Amino acid sequence: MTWLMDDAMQATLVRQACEGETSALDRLVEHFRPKVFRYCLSRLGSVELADDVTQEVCLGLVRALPTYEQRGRPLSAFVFGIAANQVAMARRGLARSREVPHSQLPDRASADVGPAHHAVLADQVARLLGPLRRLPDRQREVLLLRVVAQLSAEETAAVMGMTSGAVRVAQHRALQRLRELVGGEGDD
Amino acid sequence: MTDGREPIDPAAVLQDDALLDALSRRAAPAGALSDPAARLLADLASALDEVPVPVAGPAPARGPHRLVLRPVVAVAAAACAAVVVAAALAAPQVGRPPVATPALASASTGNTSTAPSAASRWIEEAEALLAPADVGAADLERAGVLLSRAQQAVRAEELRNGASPDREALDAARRLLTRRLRQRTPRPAAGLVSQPPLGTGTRPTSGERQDDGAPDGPTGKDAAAADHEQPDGGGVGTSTDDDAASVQPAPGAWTTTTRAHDGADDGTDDGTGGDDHKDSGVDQGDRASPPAPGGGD
Repeated sequence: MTWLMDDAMQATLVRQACEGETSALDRLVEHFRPKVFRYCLSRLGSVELADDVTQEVCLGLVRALPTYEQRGRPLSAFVFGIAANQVAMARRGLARSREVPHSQLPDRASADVGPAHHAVLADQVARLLGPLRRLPDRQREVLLLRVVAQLSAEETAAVMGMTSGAVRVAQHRALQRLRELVGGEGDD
Repeated sequence: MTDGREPIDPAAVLQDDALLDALSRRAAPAGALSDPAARLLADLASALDEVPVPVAGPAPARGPHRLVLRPVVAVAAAACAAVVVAAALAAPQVGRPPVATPALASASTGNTSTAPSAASRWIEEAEALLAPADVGAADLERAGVLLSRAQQAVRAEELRNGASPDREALDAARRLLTRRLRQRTPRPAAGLVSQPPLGTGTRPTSGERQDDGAPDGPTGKDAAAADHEQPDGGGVGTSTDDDAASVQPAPGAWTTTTRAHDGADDGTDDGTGGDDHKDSGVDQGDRASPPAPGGGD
């Protein structure tokens, strides 16, 4: 189950979207976009890059929905499966390219929050992600999907191709490891 | 250590699952936050929730799917426009510039509605600065800046409409600027001295390579003639050291004049990007030094 939108509602919206109902598509994108963005941000660490990847994920969702078939797999698993793939592609691209993506041409004033606010937030997120980066990939991914993407254990299992029991064990181990890491830092 | 081989306590697994459920709902009980891992995850979720989700434009009535598509298209259009404008500005002033759509042109220039009038104003101002025959260096520089701005505005206008009424005036003003620059710099003097390309700094620093471009003086003539008399152009050239001794620069200085490129006929000086300097150097050198067969010796 995804919070704020239960399975039945999601299934209805998916069916309506598949039938061409744009308002249903709007609601689905509106529902997933912030979560996908935060998940991408937690994985990539860059607002601009996360925004780009979020766009790709949403475009992928919009393109795929007309031919989407519900086979018992939650839509959130489908969406975050796309997101995980897009994040991996972005990381590979980032390793090759040194360009700095920017959301608009830099010759006009930005109406966004100031750069100081951005810097503080980015620093805070980077600091909090530090201990998580020391976890094994799978454990870190489980925690991010569970907490940041707000997926249930079952949805996380569907995204990661695991059983829900394996997800619960993995998240338990991840939390134990995290306690050791954070506690160790605190002792220092 | 939790290396995966330790026995799992089912109660702890369920407890952690409940904790993560609460954290994902952003509703972890205060007591749970005494756990450092839970506090870290709660702080992380809170920090990520604070980061504003970028939205392309205030168009909620058009639906989020439009908002999804818009930024991609807008960024692509802006990038294309930037490339088109940059290419047009970098291209030589021949032929008609590529015609872009109004959307691209407006994306590249922002407020283009005032571009023609602004361009004509800048051109007029530059012409006024360039009107005196003995225009000063500051005015030349200022006129150059104005004409550069005017060129951008005219280009934008041409991209939008296919032509600009200020094009002729702009070209005339640019020709005037070129004339004034030539009048002011009869020889490729200090302002046109080129730096040696990186990696080619093995050229000798003997005197004939160190002409500071002094206009039309006997020293300059001799040095120029000496350069023309270099048998291989890129050699050490000790035969001209006497003539060039009067223009010795500071020891070790590496100021190659454009005529140094001219003398480098053997190709030892690659002179990247120095073709313009070379041409002007030839012209100026010819003016400065009449044919002087054997003048180097």
